[in-house]
Amino acid sequence: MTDLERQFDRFLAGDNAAFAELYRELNPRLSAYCYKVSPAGTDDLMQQLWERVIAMRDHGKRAPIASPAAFLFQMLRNLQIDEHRKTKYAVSLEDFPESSAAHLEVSGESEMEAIVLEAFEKLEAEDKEILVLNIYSGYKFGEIAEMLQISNDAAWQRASRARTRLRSLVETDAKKLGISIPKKTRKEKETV
Amino acid sequence: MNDTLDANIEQTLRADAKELRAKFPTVPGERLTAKLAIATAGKGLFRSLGAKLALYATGAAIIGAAAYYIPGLHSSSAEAPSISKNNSFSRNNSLPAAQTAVHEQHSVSTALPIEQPGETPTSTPAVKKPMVLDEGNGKNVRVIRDKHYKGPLN
Repeated sequence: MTDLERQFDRFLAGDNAAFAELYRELNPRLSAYCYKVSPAGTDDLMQQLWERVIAMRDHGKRAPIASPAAFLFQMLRNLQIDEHRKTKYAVSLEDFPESSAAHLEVSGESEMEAIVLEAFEKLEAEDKEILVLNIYSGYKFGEIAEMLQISNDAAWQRASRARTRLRSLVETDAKKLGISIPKKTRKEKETV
Repeated sequence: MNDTLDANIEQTLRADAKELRAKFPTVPGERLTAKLAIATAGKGLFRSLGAKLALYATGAAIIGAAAYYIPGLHSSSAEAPSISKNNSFSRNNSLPAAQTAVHEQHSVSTALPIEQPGETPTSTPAVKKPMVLDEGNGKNVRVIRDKHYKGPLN
């Protein structure tokens, strides 16, 4: 039994301190995921998620939860889907092309960093999701496999494909803007 | 430049992730804390109320069962006090209880006609029949149940 599972069990048994520990552990990670996937309603969605978690206490006895992180992730994903259905026809400011240009100009990153971040946003939902869970939320592939209900190998392969696509997008964008791409070292060429 | 593109991408994304994660709170906000407190208090309240209710119900059931099954408790209130039967005077006294003679007298009133055997009295009908209002055309046949009804004036 992991620490997180123990904390979750304690929380369900009525321990408020365990809730604080869960929140400290999971909120930044899940919020990062939520922000990267649907930035507009992150605060509301996270609030709804934690309120649902609190309400779980009143539901009485339930089957033990094997992985609280995966369980909460599924809840968050469902909330996101619901929210997406509600705001399907609403147009947000982020949909306008000016916002992406503004990102390149305003942020303090180097040109290459800006290109990488822009390319990341252009990834397809499935590719983006697995990289967000791995890089932004800091989950390992085993945990991601549990969350997405796929095998470890499938998770690893999906992440690998997503990185390849991201690299290709970055190369294309850099070429368009005339920015030089860092070359592979001799050592790396030998290993390939 | 020793960094490859992949490493560059990874580094950029990890730095962005670190920055992003730092923006999100690690302590529950006021609203969540309040919700948690209400949920905890509500559960405790219901638990204590439930416990009290269960205690009172058990007590009431025990008292009810005792009142029903103990015969002394059940019959004492229903019976009249038994002073005449069990008092010391009646037990020790050998004298028989005084008996009062009861005489039945059947008197016949002279105002009434002489009763003939086999004749049924006509003055007190056994069953009261409701009054039927028949105007003759067969339409307005109604049953009047009001015993004080005296009919139309004409």
